[in-house]
Amino acid sequence: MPKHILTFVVSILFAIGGFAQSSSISGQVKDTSQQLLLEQASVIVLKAKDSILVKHTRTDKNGKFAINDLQAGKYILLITYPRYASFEDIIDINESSLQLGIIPLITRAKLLEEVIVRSQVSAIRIKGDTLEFKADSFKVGQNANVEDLLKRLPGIQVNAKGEITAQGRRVQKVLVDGEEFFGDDPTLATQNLAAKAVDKVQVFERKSNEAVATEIDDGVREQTVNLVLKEDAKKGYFGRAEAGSDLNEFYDARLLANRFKGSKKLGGYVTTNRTGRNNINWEDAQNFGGGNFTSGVSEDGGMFISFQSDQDFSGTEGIPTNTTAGVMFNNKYGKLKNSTQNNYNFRNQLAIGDGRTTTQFILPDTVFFQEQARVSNAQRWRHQGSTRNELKLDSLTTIQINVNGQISRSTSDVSNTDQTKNEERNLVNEGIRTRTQNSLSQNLNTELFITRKLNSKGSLLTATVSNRNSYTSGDGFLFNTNNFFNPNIGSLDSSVVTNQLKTIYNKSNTFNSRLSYNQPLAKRLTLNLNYSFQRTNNENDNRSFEQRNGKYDSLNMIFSNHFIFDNTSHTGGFKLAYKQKKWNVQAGLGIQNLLLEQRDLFKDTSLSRSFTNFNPTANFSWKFSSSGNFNVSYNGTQQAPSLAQIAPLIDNNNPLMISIGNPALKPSFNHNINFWFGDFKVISERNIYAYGNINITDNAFSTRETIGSNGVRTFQTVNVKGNIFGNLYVSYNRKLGNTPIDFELQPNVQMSVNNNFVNGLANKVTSYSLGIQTGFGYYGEEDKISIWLGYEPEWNNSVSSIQRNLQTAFWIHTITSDISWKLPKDWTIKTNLSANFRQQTEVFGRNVNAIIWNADIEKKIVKKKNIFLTLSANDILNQNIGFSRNIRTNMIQENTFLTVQRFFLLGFRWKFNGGAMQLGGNNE
Amino acid sequence: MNNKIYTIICIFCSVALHYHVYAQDIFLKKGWIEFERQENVQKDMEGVWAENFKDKIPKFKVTYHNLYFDESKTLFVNGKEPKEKHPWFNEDASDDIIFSDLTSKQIIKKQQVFERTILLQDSLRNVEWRITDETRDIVGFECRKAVGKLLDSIYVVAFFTDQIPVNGGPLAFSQLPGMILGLAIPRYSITYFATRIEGILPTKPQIVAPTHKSKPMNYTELFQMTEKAMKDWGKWGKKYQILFML
Repeated sequence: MPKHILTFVVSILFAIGGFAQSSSISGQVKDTSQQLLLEQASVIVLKAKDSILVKHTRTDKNGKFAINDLQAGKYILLITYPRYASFEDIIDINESSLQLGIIPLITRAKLLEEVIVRSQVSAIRIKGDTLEFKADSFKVGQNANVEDLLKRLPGIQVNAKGEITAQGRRVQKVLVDGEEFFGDDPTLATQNLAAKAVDKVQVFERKSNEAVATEIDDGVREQTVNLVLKEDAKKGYFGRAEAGSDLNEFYDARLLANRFKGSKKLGGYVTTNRTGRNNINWEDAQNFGGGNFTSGVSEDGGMFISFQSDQDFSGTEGIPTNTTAGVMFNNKYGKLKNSTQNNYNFRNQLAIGDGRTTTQFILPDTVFFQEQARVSNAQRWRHQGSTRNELKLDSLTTIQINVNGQISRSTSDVSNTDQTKNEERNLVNEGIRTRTQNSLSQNLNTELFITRKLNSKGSLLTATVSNRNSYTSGDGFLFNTNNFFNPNIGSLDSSVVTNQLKTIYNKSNTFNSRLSYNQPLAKRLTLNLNYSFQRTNNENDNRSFEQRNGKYDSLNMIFSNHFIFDNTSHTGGFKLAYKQKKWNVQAGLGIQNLLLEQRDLFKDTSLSRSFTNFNPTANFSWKFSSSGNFNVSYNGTQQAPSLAQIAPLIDNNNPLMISIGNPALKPSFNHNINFWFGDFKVISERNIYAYGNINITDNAFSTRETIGSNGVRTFQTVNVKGNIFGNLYVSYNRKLGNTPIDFELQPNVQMSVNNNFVNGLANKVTSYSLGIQTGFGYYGEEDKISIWLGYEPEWNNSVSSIQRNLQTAFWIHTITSDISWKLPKDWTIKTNLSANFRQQTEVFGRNVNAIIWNADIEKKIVKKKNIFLTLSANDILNQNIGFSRNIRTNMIQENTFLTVQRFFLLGFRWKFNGGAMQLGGNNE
Repeated sequence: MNNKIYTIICIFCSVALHYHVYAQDIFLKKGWIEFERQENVQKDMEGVWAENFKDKIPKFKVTYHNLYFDESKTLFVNGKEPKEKHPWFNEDASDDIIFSDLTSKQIIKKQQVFERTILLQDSLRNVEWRITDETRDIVGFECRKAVGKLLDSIYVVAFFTDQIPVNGGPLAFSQLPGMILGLAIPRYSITYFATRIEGILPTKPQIVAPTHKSKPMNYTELFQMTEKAMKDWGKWGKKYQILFML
């Protein structure tokens, strides 16, 4: 039955004028055709002007009703009864009561007979119709905007203010492709969008994109114009250009741009700088390319975003000069939204380094001190490309194909001088070493990933096949002179001189395949079964040639080797997950069969080992309240020794360190327990969370180290018992009383017990550190001002069992501050400060305290164009020092190196955008 | 055995009642209604990062709620568990209990506001409803559409039926001329639609006001409490604030 007949409203006009004036109405509802009084009929009074509900009641058992206290005015009286056609009439209420008498209702079945005649009339009154204009049919000028186009359309007027009227009603919304991201001002779209970008103009009433999304009308009675853009017109661009220089040594310039067209996105960037600040952040990486950005939905339905900044080029000591460039192309296509993401980037880095390392070696009976100084000069470039493609074959099956590859070359020369002294500070050995290297690397990774949902209950099959292939070749020279002394009398004992050409040729191929199957066993219980196979083939060919008669043609068989390593593993596992409303528990076990094989092609020997590894896991999560949750998990990991630990390659790159193998090594087993606790109270503005982690390793791989009286250290990997590592981190923050100030307290503890052997004696190093960070923050309204101030004292302690009296204990005090302030007239000031005060110790006798203070001042100089003048000051106090401290088993090390210090950059920044983005304005 | 007979009688009764409802124009004066709540979770996902996920997750988060009613009062509580939970937005239906006294026009709601449980006690909210002549069938009941505006700016769309002469509805929406069987809050892409209607009131839960040890607060106090904590939350905070007030 057509809906418009069902909803058909009978209107019977009453002569009202004759009734006396009243503030109440009454009447009686009756089915006149069956002479039936209707009880429970709805009697509804609406304002005639806008149909707003005023009062309503139900009829009594005699069909009678009365509504009192109505103010004078025009009303609509609506009477409904199930299966009956509604009664609707306009009534005029003055001051006296209005008696409507008998109101006749008629069943729809009865009405149908009469409707046939009248249906034509009702067809003309159809509401909610959409009027559509094909834009190309109306001629407008070449540079016309949408407003010009609208003026041409029949029934649409645009006035001088840009206000639009359609069919005599003011248009309140202009949508573009049904989306309303242009705010409430329709002129934004009509005056900025080119007419030629428009395919169709639709005019309709009270339909919005929200109504489309929820599949019902949102009731907003607004005359609306929807601009349907041509497919190729959804385009625009945005980006940023910035440059700064101190007109001398330091500079930083970057240009980043993105152009989009529909779902196609093309991004690119070029940067060059000599400031040490080079990393592209993840937001820029998404828009312009660069970095390694991946995201998606994982096997168990979770989401992941992973962004890896360029590890290969970060952490370089010295002052680096970087040049980078990249392009990316992303697209989504087809009905099922298949996607492709493609990236290419290039990077070149020059770095000059200058560093100094002070080390103290603790032996059972004595102590050695080593001083090392180095100067380095390195260059590296790399081309990298990747493509990620997701194809949806149907709603159940998805295939992902990812390929990435890179080619890089690096050249470096490093010069070292070192001196080792004994406890009495007498010289034991000294050396001068120069190593040059020149290498070329290539690698190619391919991955195929298939997911198929087997039914609606959650059975899921995923399969992965991947291959990683890499290859490195290179050569370099080693010039080395080491002199060993008799420390007591200071005479030269012996001397080693090396002058060699070294070539390297390494290649590796890893094939991996994995099959995983998820099967719900019961409503709350799910089983996962998985199997994987992996095979890795490595070939290492490293040769050393001695110089003879000016030529490097004599192969040194001691320091040359040619090995083939293969490893093959089969891993099977299962996991059971049980989910309850407030808690869930998971447990699983993986078993791996691992075969390691090694062949020495020079000596024609081979070695093979087979291991069975176990990997039990368990996890428990509990949502103990509406604001808090708790999680604890256990991971057991068995680790087989590497063949390099069983039979290491022999090299002489550092004659003061020699490795020897240990064929008796057993696999190690690591027990890891970690927990998380969080309680976030929004209303009381109090958050607390904590996480902790403890690792206990059975048969841990450690070293047996022998330091000869000449200062040469010999290493062997051995199994030890009792290695423990643990940490605990707690964060508590809340508002300080009734003030707008945030207070934060973050205690953290770390402890470790490491065992090793030094000159035949068992050594146990127990270290711990304890720090408490306290902080205060204030964040003003609309980001006008924000202030952060923090202080952390940290206590470090380390003691070695073979030298109990030589305890290393020191304080580090850190003060941090971060202030950002938006001033009138488009000025912005940002400044941050980080001060480190490290207590001097017996070994670390140098003052390494530093206050690093940076500041940026910005002024918008062209209002509409988003152009800023910038002044950036780095390390204003010129106190930055490259510095690290390392405390390990029987070794305490301090490393200082050349790093970027004070500079001032004066520059500009220009954020630009255009096209459809200009309207959205949503990228900055 | 007794249980079985009881069940059979129940089924018979409800079938008979249904027959009664459908066969004749009888009015349903008590019983319970199951509502399916759907929230379009993709709507709130904005920004470049969201583009990577939007196509990969279900569009709607679904939960169920029951409305128990007699001629003068209603009780709105959470209902059955959905068949499949949304992989991300998988929190359970709220444990809030909403009691509406339609005679005295009072609401008493036991409500979870983040970590705090509160007892809200106030007059039923006055919504300015505009009645339209559009109708729509919801589980066999003909419903008329009304459009309301609340808190000055939030539009809601309700579909009510004159066949249930109890002026209640999901959450605390009420005072339309009949039971609300469909409700939509387009701004937040949330809908409540009846999926099942029964003409029998079970013995549990009883339609009585929830209690809580805390001092009752009214709508204004609730708004002030959330305003203080969430004023910096932007669009998300506003949404939470509004939803707490419904």
